[in-house]
Amino acid sequence: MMELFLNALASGLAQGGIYALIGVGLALIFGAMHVVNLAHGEVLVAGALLAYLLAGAGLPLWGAILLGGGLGGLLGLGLYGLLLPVRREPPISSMVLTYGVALVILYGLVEAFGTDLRNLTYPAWVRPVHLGPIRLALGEIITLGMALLAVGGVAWFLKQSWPGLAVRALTQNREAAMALGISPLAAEALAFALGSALAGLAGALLVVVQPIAPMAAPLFTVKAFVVVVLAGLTSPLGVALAGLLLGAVEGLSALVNPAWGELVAFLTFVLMLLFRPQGLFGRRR
Amino acid sequence: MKERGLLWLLFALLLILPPFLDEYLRHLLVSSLTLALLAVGWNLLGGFAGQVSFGHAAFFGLGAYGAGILSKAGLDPWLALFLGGGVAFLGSVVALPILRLHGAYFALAMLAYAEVLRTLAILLEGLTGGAAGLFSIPGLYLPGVDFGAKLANLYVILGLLLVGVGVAFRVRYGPLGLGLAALGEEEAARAGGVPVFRLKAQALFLSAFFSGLAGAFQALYIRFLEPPYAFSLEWSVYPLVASFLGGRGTVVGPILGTLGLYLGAELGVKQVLERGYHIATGALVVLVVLFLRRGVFGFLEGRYAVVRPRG
Repeated sequence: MMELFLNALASGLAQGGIYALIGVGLALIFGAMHVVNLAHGEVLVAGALLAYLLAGAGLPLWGAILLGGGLGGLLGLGLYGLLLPVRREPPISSMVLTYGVALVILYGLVEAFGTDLRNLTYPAWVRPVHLGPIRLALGEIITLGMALLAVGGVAWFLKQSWPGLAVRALTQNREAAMALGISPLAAEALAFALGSALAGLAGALLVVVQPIAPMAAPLFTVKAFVVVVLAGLTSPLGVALAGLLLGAVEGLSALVNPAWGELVAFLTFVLMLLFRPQGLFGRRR
Repeated sequence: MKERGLLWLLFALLLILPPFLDEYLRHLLVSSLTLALLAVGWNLLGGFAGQVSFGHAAFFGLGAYGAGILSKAGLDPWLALFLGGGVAFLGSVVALPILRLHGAYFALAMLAYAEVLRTLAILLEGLTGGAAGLFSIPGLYLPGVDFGAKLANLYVILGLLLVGVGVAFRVRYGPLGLGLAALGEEEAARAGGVPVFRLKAQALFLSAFFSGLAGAFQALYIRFLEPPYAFSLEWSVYPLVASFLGGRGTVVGPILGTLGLYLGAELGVKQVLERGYHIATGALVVLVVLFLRRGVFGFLEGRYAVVRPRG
């Protein structure tokens, strides 16, 4: 029983690594531009399918994964360009616009690749690894590690580099940042590209460990929002923690009935918005 | 009021035309009019009150399950139809606190509310039949009328839509609409003595009732329900997209948007690209947000005196 519990928790955490990546990406985008990006999951799937294609064509896996992230970044830049004309409109306009883009990407992918599940299978990656009583596929451990590494990298980038500081300054106080000569356009574009690149990377990592189909995209968008709302707009590390938490809850509820996990996630989402909009780890501003 | 003329014309057409159409076109009309009723309901809140919801599948699904369960329990299907709308109304009472949120937060919270209800429909197996679904729901009947054919259903949904449009018309051109129009500047409205929350709540109740009515009709029409279908994201997004296209905050806009979108996809784009109509829809949404903020009919209203509402 204990073993079952621990195994469910571990594979939940592995999935949580993916949630951490898309959550951090979405938080970057929302923080910098206050745009509710409904195309986030679609960017993830696009990254996943590109990595699938490239690795299938013989590119080394690490290259395929990186290029999946790169495609995500490019899509993010394109989306940012489309959003520029409506940046002074009420936020609902940009939200609806990103939904339109999501439809175009999603069904463009469906037209091109069909609705089949895709999965890269490397015998070495599915080999189980035993950590005490816990059994995980090697691939799951690697993706979790890479996801956490990427989150750490983003955290470092935001804290220690000039462009990263510009993004954070803009998130914290837009007017003051502009008065200091920070270009909002460049910083926003950077945040959008980086955030979407994380989604693309998440997709590319995901396709190595589990089958993925285009139609899963909206679900990933929603999960990313659950993570961000759960965490509040805090440091990437806070968001990543919320991602792991969501993964763990889902993993454990899968032992009984996966619907319970979803119920908890969405109910928490509504209640957090209503009663604790600053999130679990955020401070009220 | 030029919109009234346009509405009469539209309903006259929809009343006269169906007997001359084949069964397939009638079926398309039934489906599109159901969506139109949903859009009219959505627009009561998202258009007139400016509270854009991404989760009206919640009310559609509640109406569908309400009518389905009651009809299956032996209640008269006609009564079940209207009680379905009542169940959706109760669902909107539960959702009242969400009205405190604004803009994108409101939209997202509604989306999550619909998802909560979907998972509940899966988990409450005793009531809803769970993931397996609700089968052979007794449909509408009248002595001497064949409800297996599309025509009778078509006139029922047309009647329901007429009621919805009547209410929407009263809202737009009546005192409630005037108050709702003031919500664009919520703080100013509150300072001016407009009872902001009460008006928004009224819009939500009406909106939920008619969206639920659409769901209830759908349940009695297809006579089968399962959670992913009844609470599908499609029911949340379609009325939103149709209203943005046709003209959010007008009475006729959401209907024209729905008919154009649905019939255009079924009779036009789908013939060329099987799933391509989603791509076309997405591109259309982007274009409307970028270039036609008030939708097609809203644009015409602003531009040409012939269709301008007041004065």
